[in-house]
Amino acid sequence: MSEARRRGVAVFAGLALLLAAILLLSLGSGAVRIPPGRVLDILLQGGASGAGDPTLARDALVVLNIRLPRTLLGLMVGAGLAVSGALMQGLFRNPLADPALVGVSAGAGLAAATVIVLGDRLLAAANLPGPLPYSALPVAAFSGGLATTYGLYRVATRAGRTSVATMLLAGLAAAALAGALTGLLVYASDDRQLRDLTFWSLGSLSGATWTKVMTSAPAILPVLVTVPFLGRGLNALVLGEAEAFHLGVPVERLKRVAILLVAVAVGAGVAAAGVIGFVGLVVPHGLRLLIGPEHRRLLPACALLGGALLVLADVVARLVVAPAELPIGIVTAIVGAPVFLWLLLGRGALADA
Amino acid sequence: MPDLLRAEDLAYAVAGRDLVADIALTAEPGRIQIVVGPNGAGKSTLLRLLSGELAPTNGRVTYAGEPAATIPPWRLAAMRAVMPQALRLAFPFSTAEVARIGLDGIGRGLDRRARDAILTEALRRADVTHLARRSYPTLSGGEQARVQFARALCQLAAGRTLARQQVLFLDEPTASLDLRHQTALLDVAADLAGAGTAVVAILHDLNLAAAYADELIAMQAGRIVARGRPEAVLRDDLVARVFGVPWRVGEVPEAGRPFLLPRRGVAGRSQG
Repeated sequence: MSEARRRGVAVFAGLALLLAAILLLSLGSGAVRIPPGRVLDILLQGGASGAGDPTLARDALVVLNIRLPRTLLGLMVGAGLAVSGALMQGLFRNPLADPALVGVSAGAGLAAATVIVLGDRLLAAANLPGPLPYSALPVAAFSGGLATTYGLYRVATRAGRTSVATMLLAGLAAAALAGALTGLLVYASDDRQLRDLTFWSLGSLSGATWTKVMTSAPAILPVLVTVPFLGRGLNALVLGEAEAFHLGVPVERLKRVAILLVAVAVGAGVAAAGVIGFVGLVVPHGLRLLIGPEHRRLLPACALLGGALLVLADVVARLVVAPAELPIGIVTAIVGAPVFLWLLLGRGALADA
Repeated sequence: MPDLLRAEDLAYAVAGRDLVADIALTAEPGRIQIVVGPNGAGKSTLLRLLSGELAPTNGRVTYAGEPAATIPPWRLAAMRAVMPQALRLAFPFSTAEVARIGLDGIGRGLDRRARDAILTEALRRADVTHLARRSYPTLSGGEQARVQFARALCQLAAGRTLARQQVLFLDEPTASLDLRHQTALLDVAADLAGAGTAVVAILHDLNLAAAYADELIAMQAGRIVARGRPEAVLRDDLVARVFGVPWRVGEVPEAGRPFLLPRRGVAGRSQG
């Protein structure tokens, strides 16, 4: 146990270092390369250091106004997705549960697609002045994710008890339905809408602004702060719902809170950056191999690694086809899917033990 | 003073069918009560009602005079522990971590050293110390059962800081254990009873039940059909009626055919 604790401390220190390095890399990479030392200078002195050095002023502008909000948004979205994945896996007692799998992301995506394709027509039908403000999109995605989760929760709840198995299966159905409806919208869309849809459904941090950071933070940060307090309950829940109750865990309340947190974090994440897969699956899985499945260690570690990896994926997305950009969901899927398979093969029978 | 655990006129029905009915039962400190009966007799349902996990459709369960339904889960967790039937885990928790789940958040005023001491003692009494660092999913069924027993022991020890009197529920605790660990586990339960815990267990092995029970409770079709000292309950007519076998109590097989009966308190190195 104390050995596991020491190992946990070492892993956390390692994750913090990794995160710091990736943040510096992200702030320094792009059309204008800025060395890490200079990035640190700019961060420490704020924007007030430009006097007498025009390139420094320009770099400060790039770092503080363009790359910092983008990096922070990636950090929050990645942390939120990874933590949501770990939460759902604990809740469903299934290492393969993922926000994308149970329809939360698909519901958010469908709502966003509806706004993109039908938004202006709906406005016209309601005799309201167009065009739709751009902020309607994240609001719709957030509401879609929340509504899907709530619907699933209601379907799976009978007489005050929520069946996680029913919710998982209903989630698969909801994901398929939302996918089909999104496909229908794609079919009905014009060229410009199609480009918007593609970007949304594959995810991107390119639209990051301080405004987006400030609107996402109140949704995602409280989730990250709350989640470690669910650790003990989730550990007990791994034994089973009856056993968790025997151990003094208020099971129904725990399930409600966990589901709400997932809906908020994923909804806000999709709203800010579109649908990004595999972070919620690969990060918790890999960390369980490193530090074990104990949730009080696992959940904060997921926040660190999930944030770090999504920011790194964004750096890759920015650099590989520069000056253009790849959707970040493509990067996470191309890297995440094989890594996930490799993790599964390496662990063999333990996945369904 | 109100009884530690008391069930009155208890019934649980699903879709109009009684799974258990007309149950009156009192658990007392220091007493081992063992529930026996054929499959589907309602033994596990009774245990789930008594532990507060299920809400009865009729009657009520009280702990120290308080209805179980109104006691918050964290306080109930200090008053009773449950060792479930076989439990599989989807995540590779280590043995020590699984047992420690029984400690987390239970009881009051225990520092890390006190909790470590409780864990060490529980692992020892359940004879799983040598498995402490093994991954739970890789253990055999019997080993997993002993880890769950260790977890229940942890919960009782930690809960003692809040509740002076406790109940230990065991649902077929010996089902997958070898002979030595069957008696070792029940010896530990008997020790706990000796120290004032009330033990309520379900067993299928009537010889083990007879060896350890202070009160034997025979169930059939959701009702208690006989109860009392083992020698009063285990009679030929009851065995025939409840279990449907014409076996005779105390009858020795034909000459030369060996048979083995369990003995208390001789389990060897795992004895506390």
